[in-house]
Amino acid sequence: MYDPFHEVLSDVRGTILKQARALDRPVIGVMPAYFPLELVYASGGFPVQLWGNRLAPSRADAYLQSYCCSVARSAMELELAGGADMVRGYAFTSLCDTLVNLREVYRRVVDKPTVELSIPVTQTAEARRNYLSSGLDKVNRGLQEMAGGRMTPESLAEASELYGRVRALQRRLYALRLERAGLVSNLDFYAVLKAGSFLGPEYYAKLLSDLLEKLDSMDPPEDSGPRLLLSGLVYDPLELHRILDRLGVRVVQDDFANGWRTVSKETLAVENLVEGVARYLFGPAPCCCLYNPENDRHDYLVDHARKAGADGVLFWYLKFCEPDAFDRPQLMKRLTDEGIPSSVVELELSMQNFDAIGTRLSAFCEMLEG
Amino acid sequence: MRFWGGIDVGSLSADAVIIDEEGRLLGHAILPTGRDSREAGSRAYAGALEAAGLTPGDVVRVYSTGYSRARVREAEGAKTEIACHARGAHALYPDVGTIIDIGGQDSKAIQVGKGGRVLNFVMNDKCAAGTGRFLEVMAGALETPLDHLDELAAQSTETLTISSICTVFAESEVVSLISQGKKPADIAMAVSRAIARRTVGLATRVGVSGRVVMTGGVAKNRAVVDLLAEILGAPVDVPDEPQIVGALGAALFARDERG
Repeated sequence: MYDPFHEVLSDVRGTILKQARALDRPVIGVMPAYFPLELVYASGGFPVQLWGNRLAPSRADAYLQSYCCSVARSAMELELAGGADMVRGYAFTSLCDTLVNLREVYRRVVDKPTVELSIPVTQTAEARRNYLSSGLDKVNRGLQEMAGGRMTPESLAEASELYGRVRALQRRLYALRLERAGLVSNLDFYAVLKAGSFLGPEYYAKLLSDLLEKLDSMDPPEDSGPRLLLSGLVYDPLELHRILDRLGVRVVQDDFANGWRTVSKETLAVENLVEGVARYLFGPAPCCCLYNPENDRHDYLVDHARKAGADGVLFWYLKFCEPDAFDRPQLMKRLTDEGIPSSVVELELSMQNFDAIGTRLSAFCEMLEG
Repeated sequence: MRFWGGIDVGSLSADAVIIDEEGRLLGHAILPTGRDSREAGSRAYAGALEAAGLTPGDVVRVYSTGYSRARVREAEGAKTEIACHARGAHALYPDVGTIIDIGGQDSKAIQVGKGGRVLNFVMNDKCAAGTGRFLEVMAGALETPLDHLDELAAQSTETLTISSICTVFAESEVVSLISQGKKPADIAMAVSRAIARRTVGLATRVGVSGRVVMTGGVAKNRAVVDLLAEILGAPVDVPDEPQIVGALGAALFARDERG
């Protein structure tokens, strides 16, 4: 049932090439996070989301400090090693200092065009809109030059519908996981999600629909391991989900930047694109990388965990991600104050040995089970 | 009379205990793990049985713990070292609130609640800094047996500082201090202080409360224990044999399993 998704992940390069041919669109690499894929698609491109990979950095270390996260380092390693030769250009957001600087490094080192959607750091929704209105046109022009297409109201509406549909289907999968905890293994769940990063929206939506149809009539197993909410930037490395499965853990909800924080976004409103993009970026889930005083992460996470009936929260910390690291102590304290146990695992995308992390996960489960 | 066993196979040592129905320790063994952790666990278990004057047939059940817990052939069940250190320390000190365990390749701080239940924990297992391996490397640089490092530190008269967190760089600092003609005793004390500071940082993350108990092989180093107590501003208790606390916890879990 999950084979089509696992097959994508076992041959990401082949998948991207095949999809690009089928779509007859140039591949645009989209860096983390929250860049509306709709804008790339509406400009004639095939957006492929690059959330890092398992390459151990060597060439990239000539340009990036060792304290850059493994998402940035492995993405650049892929480019410098020639693994991203099919990518015509890159779309960045100003999500964090590392990504802002990474784009500058790409501009000097990589002979490919780039655009950057600068995310406003302002107090009010009005200020956000004002800020975006000054830069969005430039981003859209850059995307059109890169992808070779023309962004029109029709192409925007089509892209918005397609990606809106994909996220709606993903939300159905999330709802199913919550209602029937354990029905989808953690590894399969995130493989399904991740496969979408490398597929055209229509094709992916079809795969998701077929999967959901099959799952609709299935019941979860009777196992009753702890129910966890995972929080972090990236749900990789997937190997960890295999360990969680082995421990009988049922992940019932997440707070990943490339998970629920993105999946929960409604269809991009394109009639007023500035307004639509502002809403898309800042709602509904808060993020450590987004400044929005009206959407407090502490309240949100407690509420998110409670609604999911989570026994505990596991912070999935990608080493050297400063925004995530700065938020975590306060978030953990708040969870403790609310009687919700939490723990943290520290990860790198290229890690190969999971024994020590397996022990932490086991210990956390033992702690939850009393 | 019924008996239970606990085997803790860590990176540096394999420890085993035998207990009776009251949880009394009847025998134990501590052996180097070496290359074959499965074999080390078996040898430690055999040693504990011998010390207790028992045979495998006398033992109801064995649990394992430690990094190689899944590889112990005699074990019917396994628990993490976090749960086992909490359980074992609680059996020895019923009012324990915080456990600091520094083993060969990791260090942990565990907050313990009623009945030895783990309330919270943090682990350092990323690098050798703050672990037994750190002390081992420094003892090597000082050409001093590991178990004499605290005696050497006790003779210190000058305060020196090892500033590097990384074990490799810290070793370079030690070599540099030696070449400057600094006294080995002062360097040994600086090394102990470095590991104590790092451990306090770890313990503070989990929160220090109640009686503080230190377990693991590094707890045998008096200099580190005293410095920990000094920096924490609280007494630190060390069991008679801190290396077997994890194995004791495993044996208690084995005993508590029904059947």
